Amino acid sequence: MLILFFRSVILYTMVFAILRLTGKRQISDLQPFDLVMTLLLAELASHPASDIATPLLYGAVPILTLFLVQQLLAYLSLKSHKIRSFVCGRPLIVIANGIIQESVLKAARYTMNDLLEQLRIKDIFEIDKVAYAILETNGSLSVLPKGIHQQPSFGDFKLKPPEEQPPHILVLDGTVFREELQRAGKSEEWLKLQLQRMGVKHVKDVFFASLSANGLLHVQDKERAGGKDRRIQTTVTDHG
Amino acid sequence: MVNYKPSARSSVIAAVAAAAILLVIFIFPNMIVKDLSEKVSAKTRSTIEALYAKDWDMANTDMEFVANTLAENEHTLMLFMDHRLVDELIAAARGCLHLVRKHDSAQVFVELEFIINRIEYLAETEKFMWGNLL
Repeated sequence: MLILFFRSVILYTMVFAILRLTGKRQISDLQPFDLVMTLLLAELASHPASDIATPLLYGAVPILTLFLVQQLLAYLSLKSHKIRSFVCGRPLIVIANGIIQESVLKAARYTMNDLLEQLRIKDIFEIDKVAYAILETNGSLSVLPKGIHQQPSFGDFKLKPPEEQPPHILVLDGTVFREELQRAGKSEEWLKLQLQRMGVKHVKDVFFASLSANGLLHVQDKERAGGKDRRIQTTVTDHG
Repeated sequence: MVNYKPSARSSVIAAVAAAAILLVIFIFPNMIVKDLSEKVSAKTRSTIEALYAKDWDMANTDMEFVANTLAENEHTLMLFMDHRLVDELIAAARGCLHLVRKHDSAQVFVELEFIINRIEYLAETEKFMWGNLL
């Protein structure tokens, strides 16, 4: 039984490492060759994990082979447009200039119900509002609404857009992320000072702290420390 | 946390390591099993010849070699081969040794053919052939 335990741990580690190395896409975003690999990996790992009469190598060799094939296909797809089209398929325009492309839908075995459902997921309830809809190679639908239904941008109104940088997550569950502090150009002393200003005694009491690009520090205490939600505007140029 | 550095290098290192491991696995099991198969099947055939000549001492010496060789290589074989096949082979060799010592020629031929069949099967599973591929 101990052998079964360790074989399972070895195979799990192997499958996990390979899935991490092949990319961290979600199941819904998988390309066909990624999906094939994911399905096969589970099956290949389960047999030698549960049967101690089967050498571990019977699982390891196919898993390593699949990893190599997948890496090779990913590399070739990156380098060659033709191979990428062959392996991943091509995006299909299912609505062009507001007109549903019936022949394309049939070729893609995509029903009108599928199309309407995907449009509804994108908050479009009237097909009349769509100028172009493209069925992507991973199965998702990209939609370009007609001009009058498109949302205006900050640029259209000549407004100052918000900062384009993602916020820095400085503390999570009481742990300070020093690397993230460095990226934000701040020090731990600066963080402690700001927390003191907000009335937080210990960083261990902080459940979550983030610093946005415009200098807004958002801190939420742990529930046991009161669970208080606090915000403070810091100066962007203050490098702590 | 936002990952600013995608680890393309680790994928390349892992791919090279996987290729190297596979290469080792493709070469060494084949060499080991081929060598063992040749030794064991030659000695098993030699045992059969000795039995036809009613030379029980010679048959005993050959069969001891077969049983000992298989027992010594048990762990190595189990790395690459189905454990049940390896167990069956070792058990058959031990059984043959008992039969030869008891001078039971009727049953021993069946067991000897079984050993030849199994050891050659083990070697053939490592060969790259259409039969194995399909």
